[in-house]
Amino acid sequence: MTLPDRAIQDIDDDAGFLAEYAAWLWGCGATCTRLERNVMRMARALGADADLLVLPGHVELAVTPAGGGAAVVAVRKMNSCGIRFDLNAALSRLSWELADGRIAPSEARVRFRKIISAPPTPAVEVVLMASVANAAFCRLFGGDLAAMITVLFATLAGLRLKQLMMGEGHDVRVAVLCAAFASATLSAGASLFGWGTTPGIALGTSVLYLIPGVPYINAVSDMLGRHYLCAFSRFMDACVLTACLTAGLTAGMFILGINSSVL
Amino acid sequence: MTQAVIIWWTLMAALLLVLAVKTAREYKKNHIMHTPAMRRVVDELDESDMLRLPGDRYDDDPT
Repeated sequence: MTLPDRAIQDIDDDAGFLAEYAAWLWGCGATCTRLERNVMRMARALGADADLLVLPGHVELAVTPAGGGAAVVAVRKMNSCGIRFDLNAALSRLSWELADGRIAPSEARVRFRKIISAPPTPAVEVVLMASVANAAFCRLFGGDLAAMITVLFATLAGLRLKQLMMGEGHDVRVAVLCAAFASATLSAGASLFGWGTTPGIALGTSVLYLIPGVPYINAVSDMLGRHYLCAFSRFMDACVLTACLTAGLTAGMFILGINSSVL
Repeated sequence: MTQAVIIWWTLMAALLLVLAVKTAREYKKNHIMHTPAMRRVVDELDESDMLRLPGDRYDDDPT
């Protein structure tokens, strides 16, 4: 489809659609490079050129008809749906389907609405799987069975607390601090009551599920892609969350009189 | 050590209490307050004047 076939209103709609797409893709944990590639690919399929400005809080997109003409600018606020790989994969798939001509632009919009309105993974499922994964981490670091069971329950309690606090609208930093404190105090039971032979590993790995790994990785990726503003923003967000985690862990150890030498 | 054990049990009891209360509250919100039956009751109360207080203004209020 080329410019003469399309009305100005179409370009306007395309710009809004692509900007919203970029905002959702950023929110679910994609890097800026991924954002640029997907949006450019979709814009080309729509018969237009796109220039993307990615800022930590907003995305600005200028869509120009491929044959030339005035650009339409759309600005959208970044979505904060949290890291969701299923959404990330579905949105990337959508961009390829549109680029390969397997779906029409109108259908792409419908599919996009359907993808973003899909419910996230159930909270109970996330808690159970994350707890088992964290217990496995404990084993990887040399923890024994008692330490693994301790970490399993510490993660279960801490992550559930975090989910409930986030659901009630508390700040993510406060939620992380409280979750780290809860997990640390629960796993400190291994030191206090002598559960197993590796209580230090249980204590150390009980808060691993709170490490913001994706923001750290994305920060490096954005830095390599020369998106320094976003890289710095993501890095600082991750650092603040890590500081909250550390404060919660330290508070738990301090209150219970656990010496840092056990770690 | 005894003091740390007492603190640990106290913290665990508090954590358990918080988790139980918050989970129950979330369950109530998701499974009781938003059921079709409960929504119907709320809608009916809304349509009636039972919940209207002196001074309340509504969309259909000409003032």
